[in-house]
Amino acid sequence: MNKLLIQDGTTLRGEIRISGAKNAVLPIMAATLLCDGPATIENVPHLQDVTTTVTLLSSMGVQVVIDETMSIEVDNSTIESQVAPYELVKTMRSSILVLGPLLAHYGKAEVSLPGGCAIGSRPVNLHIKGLQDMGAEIEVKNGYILARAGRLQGARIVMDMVTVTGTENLMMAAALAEGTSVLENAAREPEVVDLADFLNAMGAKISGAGTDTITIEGVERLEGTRYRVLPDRIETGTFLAAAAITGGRVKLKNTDHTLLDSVIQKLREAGAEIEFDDDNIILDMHGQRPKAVSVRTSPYPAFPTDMQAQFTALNAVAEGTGTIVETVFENRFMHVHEMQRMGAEIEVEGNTAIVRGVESLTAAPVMATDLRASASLILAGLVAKGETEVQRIYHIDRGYELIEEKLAALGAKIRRVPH
Amino acid sequence: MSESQGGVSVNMNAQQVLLTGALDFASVSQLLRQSRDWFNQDRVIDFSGIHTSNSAGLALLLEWMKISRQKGHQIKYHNVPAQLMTIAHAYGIDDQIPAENV
Repeated sequence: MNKLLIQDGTTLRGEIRISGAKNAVLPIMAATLLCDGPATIENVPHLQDVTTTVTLLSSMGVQVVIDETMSIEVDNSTIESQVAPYELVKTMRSSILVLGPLLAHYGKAEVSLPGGCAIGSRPVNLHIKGLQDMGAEIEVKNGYILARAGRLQGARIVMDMVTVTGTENLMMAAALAEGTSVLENAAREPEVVDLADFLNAMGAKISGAGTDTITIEGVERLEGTRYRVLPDRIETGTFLAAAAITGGRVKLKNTDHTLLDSVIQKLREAGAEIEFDDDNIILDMHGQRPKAVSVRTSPYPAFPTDMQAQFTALNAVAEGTGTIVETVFENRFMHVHEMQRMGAEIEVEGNTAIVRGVESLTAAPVMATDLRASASLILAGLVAKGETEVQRIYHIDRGYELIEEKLAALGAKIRRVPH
Repeated sequence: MSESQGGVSVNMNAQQVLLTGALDFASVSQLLRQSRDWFNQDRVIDFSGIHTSNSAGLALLLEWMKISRQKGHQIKYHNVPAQLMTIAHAYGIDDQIPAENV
């Protein structure tokens, strides 16, 4: 198992290119199961979760090839099985996204239940209920979702809670259903919009993506297409926070500032000067210490839960006190204990972390517990006096492409070593 | 000796195999089946004539390395396409490929 060693004392400066969005490419890869003919996905980030999805599709007999630009071409005409096995699903919860497409295109699916998650309860019952509303027969047995259907039927589905993967799974299933489906209380994230755009590029008839009501007029078939995934807004926000925490100036290329208005607003409150220039975002702290900000996480377009840990790190060394309220996941403060090892002054009361900024943190060996927590510990390590050692960095490889190379390009003293 | 394996032409002499064409999903399965006897001796595979390749081609290179190792022989790759080395580098395995440019 590898670890990252991070030395303090660097003010981040320079330019990097933002990768394609992990949370967009994974459902889009699942959606390639819906079409006839090959589909090519561009701007794919090189991540463990992408490799796992390639493995999952390949295990079903789907032909997947990757070219030198990391574009992925998927041809499902060779598919032999509609099973997503436990061994793969347990390593990546988003494997559940193959359920809707398999059922819609092939009439059957056998998908392992994902099991528990470190950051909180993430049930899939809404996925199951929605598919049943569309006429699927579903049984949960021996840890597997066993689903069968003739052609799915359009339905009006009101989701009890906002769920991104639930919206995506049902939207994909409805694309090939007979009749019109309406998803109410739908997730509004940009990645949901990107999936809808991909489906429409294949011939689907989806409107309303990005709002809380999505209408899908089912079609007989979808055709493969070539599609470019949108930039990763969480990677963008993470590097902006990294620049802010070190008082630096960075230019992030190949991104889209409109995807993260709430994060940019908070960074400006923290004292950052932020400008936009075509596909670039330029942040400049002018060497200043950030000011503490208070954030409340909520579904898009509110402040994203995936940026909560990074702002906890920012507040840990900021001037003043900020509160972080986490409303999406019930156990997403595991990074707090690790930051406290570095001298952060943080009190957690229920779903609220009160963070009193300190002049400086001190380096310590710390352990990553999940993807975004690992990013926050790296950010803290950039400013903690001494050399911080972040263990269990396999978490970070799931969601950040070449993070140490990108940080090093901005001047960070960071390296990966065997543990 | 010269023969065609799907989208790849094979020219073989005593020690070297020269491949020409496209090394992709369509051609690698056939090429793998036909190549198993190549590795009963040390072998050099020259990719000078390969104009297109992707991860399917990389998988074939790795499989050939495994077969050679199992048979106790050496394999070398000459003029591996840059496309393949880029993918290998992305997966952190480029230093494992016995490649040289000649």
